Amino acid sequence: MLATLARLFLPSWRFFDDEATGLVLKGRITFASGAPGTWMELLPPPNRRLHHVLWNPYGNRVLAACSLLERLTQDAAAGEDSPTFARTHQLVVHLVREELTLHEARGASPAAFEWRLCERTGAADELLMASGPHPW
Amino acid sequence: MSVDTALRWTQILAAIAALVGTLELIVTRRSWGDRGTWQWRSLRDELPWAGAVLAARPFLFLLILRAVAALFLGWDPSLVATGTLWATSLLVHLRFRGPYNGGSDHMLMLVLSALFLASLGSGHPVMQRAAVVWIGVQATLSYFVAGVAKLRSAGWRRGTVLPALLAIPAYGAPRLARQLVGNRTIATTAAWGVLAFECGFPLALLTPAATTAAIALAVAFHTANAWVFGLNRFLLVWAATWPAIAAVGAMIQGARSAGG
Repeated sequence: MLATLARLFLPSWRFFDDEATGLVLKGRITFASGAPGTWMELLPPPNRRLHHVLWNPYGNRVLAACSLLERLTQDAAAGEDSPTFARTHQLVVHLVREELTLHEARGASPAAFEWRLCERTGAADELLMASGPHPW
Repeated sequence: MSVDTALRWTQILAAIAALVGTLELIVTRRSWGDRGTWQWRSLRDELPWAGAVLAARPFLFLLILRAVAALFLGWDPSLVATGTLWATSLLVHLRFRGPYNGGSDHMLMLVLSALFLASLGSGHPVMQRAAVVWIGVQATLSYFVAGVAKLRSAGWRRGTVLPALLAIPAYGAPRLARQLVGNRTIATTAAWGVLAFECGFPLALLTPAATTAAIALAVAFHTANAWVFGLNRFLLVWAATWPAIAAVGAMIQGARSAGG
């Protein structure tokens, strides 16, 4: 908590200061029948509308989720056995389930799901992390 | 701009920024509800003392309280309204293990902290002035530091960063913007425009005309960022700092006139 507060009151202000690569989260469900669904890209941003200049709740949710993914890569680099990484990882699992519920699994009867975190550089996606199957 | 006027405008604009951010969180409550991404069950180990205010249901009431405090700050500021908005904003920050929307949350918290201190020292002009100076200096630094950091990047100097940023799927940048920065000349010109604006921002404090021009450019810069990247909260929060920048500029210009 102290680290969180320190970061809050001592911002770096270094916005967009280098070449950026986008993190891409993909997920798929496994149906109760055992058949796997197709991999789909999660966290689609809402199509930009003029009012998003002042009011953009779903766009900001996507950006907050991407910050969570960045945090996962940072926590992983610091050590995958740390409680911080475990917590961030758990939130990402929740994120994948929430996204799949919104975009894929509504009305379906999934038994499990899995996810991949990739880094998009140009047209290629480099795999950073892959999960095993999580029970739905 | 006088310190009193700057402080009042800062209160109004910070209240609007906090209100919009709070309502956006309420609209997306599914994501921090019991089955959402930021569900309390997975966060409570970090903040075991805070379940009474940060679990899903009390968190909704906390957000409503924050919205009401923001309305009061904008309408009729008081120590209670400012303190409540500051405290609830801090709790929201802890709830998401840091900023929900990066730098905009940092800046809003800095602005609210300064307003809270000014409220505590209500009746003491030194405290009011210190609050305005703090906000103005931090805002000026935010542009300048961001500019210098970019200037050190070869990608920014070459003009390759903007197209790469706009290609990041999460931003959902409009096709027109992506097409524009697909042109190398436009991308490089835009990059150097950003570098010149951010690195040159401290010059805004030197003359009234420079202050006006810099704030006008800042309005255009943040509005463009809100449209291209969807960063509406940066526009709203940084708008709350512009009165303080104008007031600090007036102080510096006054001191230079008196000295020269």
